[in-house]
Amino acid sequence: MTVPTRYEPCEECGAPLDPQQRYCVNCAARRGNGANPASRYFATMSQRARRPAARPPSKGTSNSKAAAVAFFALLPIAVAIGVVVGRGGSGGGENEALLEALRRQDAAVASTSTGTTVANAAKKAGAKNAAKSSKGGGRVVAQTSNGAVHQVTGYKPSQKKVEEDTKLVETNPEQTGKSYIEAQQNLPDVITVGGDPSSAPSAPGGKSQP
Amino acid sequence: MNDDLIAQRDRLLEKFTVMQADLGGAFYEMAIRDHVRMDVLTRKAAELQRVDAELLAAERLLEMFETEAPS
Repeated sequence: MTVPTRYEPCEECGAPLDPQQRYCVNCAARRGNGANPASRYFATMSQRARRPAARPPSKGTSNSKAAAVAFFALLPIAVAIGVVVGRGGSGGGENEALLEALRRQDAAVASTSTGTTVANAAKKAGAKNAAKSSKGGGRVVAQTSNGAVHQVTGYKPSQKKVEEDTKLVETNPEQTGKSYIEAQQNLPDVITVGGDPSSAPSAPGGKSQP
Repeated sequence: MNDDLIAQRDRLLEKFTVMQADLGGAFYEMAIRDHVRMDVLTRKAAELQRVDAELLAAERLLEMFETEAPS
């Protein structure tokens, strides 16, 4: 007595398939009954490949969340430090006063009535010594940490002042190195030199200076 | 852009692997039952060749992107 073999039809073409058959020999379709070792192998490999890939995103999400929280927590502190540094760094009122005084001055800084007056801005000359600066020129128009700012327009220097400043200007070109730097730092903000402006040496262009 | 391309390459790679295994399995099944049908196998081989070409194109494109902008 033989047990009749039960044939299942192919899902693609309907051809009868043996229970041990993994592929249909008529249309080459794979049977989906799980008897195929290749199918089991690929399923296992696919699961293994996806498992490690699923973990890092959750870890990365928590890290990015922590970074975002830290950023928003530190943002006000950073802004506060920036404001404090900004306020401390700017010279503020003193520089404004100096600029205002310079604006008020006439553009013509050289007076030719009795001599030639050369105005040096206090910050330009590096006149940090306030005492030296105060004896520099005419009316004081502003006081800064770098010294007093004098008005040069209409300023009439004394004969003594002219002689002192002329001597200072004559000795200045001979100084070099450290002595030159020190001399520059101690200059008054207004220097008056004597002489006739028409007899001034000619400019490099060949014309006499105005 | 790069992530999409990598995902597409992986999909094609998986498809190619499965199709190639199917082609080999089908030929084995036909051979042991003495029922080899070359027309069916050739059609399956043509489908496999199309996927192979797509996979090659995706890999070339990915290689080009990685050469231009190394991360």
